[in-house]
Amino acid sequence: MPVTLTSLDNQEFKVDKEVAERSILIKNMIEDVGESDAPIPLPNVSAAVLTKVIEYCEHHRNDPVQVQDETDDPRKRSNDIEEWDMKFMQVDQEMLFEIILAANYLDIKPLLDVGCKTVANIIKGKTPEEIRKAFNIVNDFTPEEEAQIKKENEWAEDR
Amino acid sequence: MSHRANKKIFGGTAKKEHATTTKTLSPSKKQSPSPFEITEIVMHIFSFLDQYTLLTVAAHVCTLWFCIARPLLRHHLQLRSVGSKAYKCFRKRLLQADSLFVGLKFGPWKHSTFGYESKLWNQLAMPLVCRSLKTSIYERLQELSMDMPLGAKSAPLELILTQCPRLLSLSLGCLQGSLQERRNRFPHVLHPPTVGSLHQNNHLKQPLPLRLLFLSSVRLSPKAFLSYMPFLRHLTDLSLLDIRDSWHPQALVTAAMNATTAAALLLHLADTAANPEQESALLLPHASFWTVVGRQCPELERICFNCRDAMTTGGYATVPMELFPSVTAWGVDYRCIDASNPSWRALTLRAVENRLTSLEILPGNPTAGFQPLAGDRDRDNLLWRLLRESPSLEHFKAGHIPMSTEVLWGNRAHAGDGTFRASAANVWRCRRLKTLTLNLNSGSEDLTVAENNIVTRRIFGYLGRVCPQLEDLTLVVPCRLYAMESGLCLLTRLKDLRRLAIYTSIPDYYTSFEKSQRQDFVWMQGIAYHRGSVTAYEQQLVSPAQVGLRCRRVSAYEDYKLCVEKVRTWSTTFPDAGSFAPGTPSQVEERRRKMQQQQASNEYLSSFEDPESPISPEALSKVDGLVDMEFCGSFLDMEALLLARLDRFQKEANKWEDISGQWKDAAPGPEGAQPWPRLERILLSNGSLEREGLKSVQSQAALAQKAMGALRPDINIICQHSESPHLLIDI
Repeated sequence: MPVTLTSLDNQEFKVDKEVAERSILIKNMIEDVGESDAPIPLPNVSAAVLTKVIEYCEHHRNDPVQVQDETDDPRKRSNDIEEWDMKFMQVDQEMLFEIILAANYLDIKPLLDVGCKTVANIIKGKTPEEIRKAFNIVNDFTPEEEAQIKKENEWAEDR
Repeated sequence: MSHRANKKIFGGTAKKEHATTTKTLSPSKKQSPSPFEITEIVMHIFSFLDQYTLLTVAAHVCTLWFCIARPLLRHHLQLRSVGSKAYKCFRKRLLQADSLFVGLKFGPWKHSTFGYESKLWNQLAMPLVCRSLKTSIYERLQELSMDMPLGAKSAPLELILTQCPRLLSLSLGCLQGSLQERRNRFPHVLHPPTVGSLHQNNHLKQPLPLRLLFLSSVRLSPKAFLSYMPFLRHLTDLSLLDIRDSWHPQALVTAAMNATTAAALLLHLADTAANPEQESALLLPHASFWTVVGRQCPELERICFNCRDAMTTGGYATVPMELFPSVTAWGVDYRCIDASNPSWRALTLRAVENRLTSLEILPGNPTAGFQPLAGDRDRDNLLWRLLRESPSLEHFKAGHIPMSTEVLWGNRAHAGDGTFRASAANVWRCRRLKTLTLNLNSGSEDLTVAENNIVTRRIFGYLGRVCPQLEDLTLVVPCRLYAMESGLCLLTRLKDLRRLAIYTSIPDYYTSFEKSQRQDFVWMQGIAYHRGSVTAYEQQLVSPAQVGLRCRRVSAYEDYKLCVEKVRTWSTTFPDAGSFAPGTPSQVEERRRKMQQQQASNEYLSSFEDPESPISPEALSKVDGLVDMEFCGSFLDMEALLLARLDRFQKEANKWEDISGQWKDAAPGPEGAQPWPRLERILLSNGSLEREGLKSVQSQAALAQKAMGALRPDINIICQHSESPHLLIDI
């Protein structure tokens, strides 16, 4: 049964229920409302981003649902992105950020993971200054704070 | 964008305030959306960063990032020296530390004859640590490693377990360097630290969360160890390495023989007498000990055990594996590699449902004449069989056992009789292998340069094909294999390889890495490679601190997927013409035919086809179904191969013409009407990493293009070389 999703700019998307339910948010909404033809409004997601999200969900429609494992190894790897996902994430930075935000809003953990891994890979190998420049972040440390951080880090050695 | 939300970033309040930002997007953020405005997302991104990046990069970007990164940092404290200010500083920092390493840095004290190491430890370092432990309870501490020298007093196991209730990982004993190395340095100080039993007035009341216990080079009384067992029920990883049983007559005789002076012998005896619990060392039968361990620690997943004094205590050398059916990761004494050994039978019985994930063959006692020798075909066969029958194996370390390089010749029986016994069963099934340590023996006294190149290409070719997920490769090679860089480019197939180390058995002998430059290894970012001695290698093997590697980035070879995913890939290495004869063309053809038959039932063989065996151009020219050709090394025969194939194609065509009279108009043409009708590409790579390599490859590509001519202009001829940046990408 198809489900209609309405984007921020009032564009409607018809997708299979199975695909739409990759989003936990939508799944919960469908369960709460019950059988209905009414479109599901997604006021935080633009049409362009929703198109990408649906593309992702379509591709991963048969993937097993991830179970949250509290005993997960905290040292997660960022270099195990699948080839298709890697190509999917080859978008400009603004779109990448919007996909991450949409994945967070729609509660699609695998997509959020891939997005965050992509950002983590961008961060790796860069200096703090390069990161500020890349992500347009202002350095709001005072000189005293910077000195204190350096002092604190003196003994906290990396393994 | 500014994240200046709270000036007080060191007070611990900023993090809380930022953390109140909710996950729900507010419409006001739509204009310039950024995931960095949501603390939860930033934390998620940071969870994919390593500690180094968190500490040196993320924490320095802005106050918000600092506040988020700070709690994620693990504070690792090291005590490397003892001085007047050490105690105060140490105690203050220990309260904040998540992990602690205590191990003194020693100078070149090789000339010392009075155990300077142990004196410094016993009189300064140990009191300092014990004083700290006695005065506070360290709730944060989760990981503790104490590198204790020989001659150190008892390991303070009880004190540690009592004062560090959250401890998850504990390593005690001689962690850096082998026991033998320390014995060589201080021949009169024979006794390693003792692990004593629990005292009656202990404060341990309930099981501890400890998951990993690593004891190395300590004197361990089974009775003392078992007294801790009720409190270690959650152990998953137990390593008892180089364990010496305690007081027994043989130890006294050894001490007397090794003592340089009477005073040194008396010192040893006095220390031994001061630890009376040692006398009960041998009162507990070996099997009973492990039965109790198995019963008390039901969550065990990994066991490593070897015993230095096994000669005097019989069966104490091996763990009765049958008592631990759920343990899938083993470190076993090399004496287990014996068909009659019960432990070996337990390992191989798993062939029915082989779930072995990790196996490390540990060294025995070289001074007692237990050193494994090269050329033991029975042992090679047993290990080979294990590798064939263990599809789940991910970590295999056998650095102390010389194995013949013939075992890596997948399609040839490694008995060395020169006959081919093509069999899928000869290929390792451990396709998920991530860690591999091998001690390779060429099996021949003298190798020519050409033969050496073949051997090394065989090694790298085999590993490159059979173990595509390797991350850590360590090879110990005899000094005769002096050109290990030959065929290194075959390793570019290993897209996950993060560490490569090659050691020679003789220090200062060439492995020819000297000829290679760092840029030769750009496909493997952060490579750690060097030559060294076996002694240095042993240090690496027994030290848990060095298992974690420093390589962070991984490179992938652009064509890797293409190479391994093609169902019918022919990958071969051409040696210099005439330098090596693998067999007659008919033998090669027979082998090929059998392998094709076996492919249907052996999926993993589909991407492994004779990676390194030198095959004649004539034989290859007869194979019709090629989809992909990959050449590595010398291309002297490349043109001859193509011409031979074209000649054969012409004959086929003429034959068809004789039958049909008009084959040229036939559509589609008969099989063989085109040279390799299914062939899509030819991949050429130079065998070594020499500077001139690319030029050589390109000239061969031109020859190949010319030879194929207009008949197959669609074939993609690719050159690859480590210096061709367009062929190498980072992921």
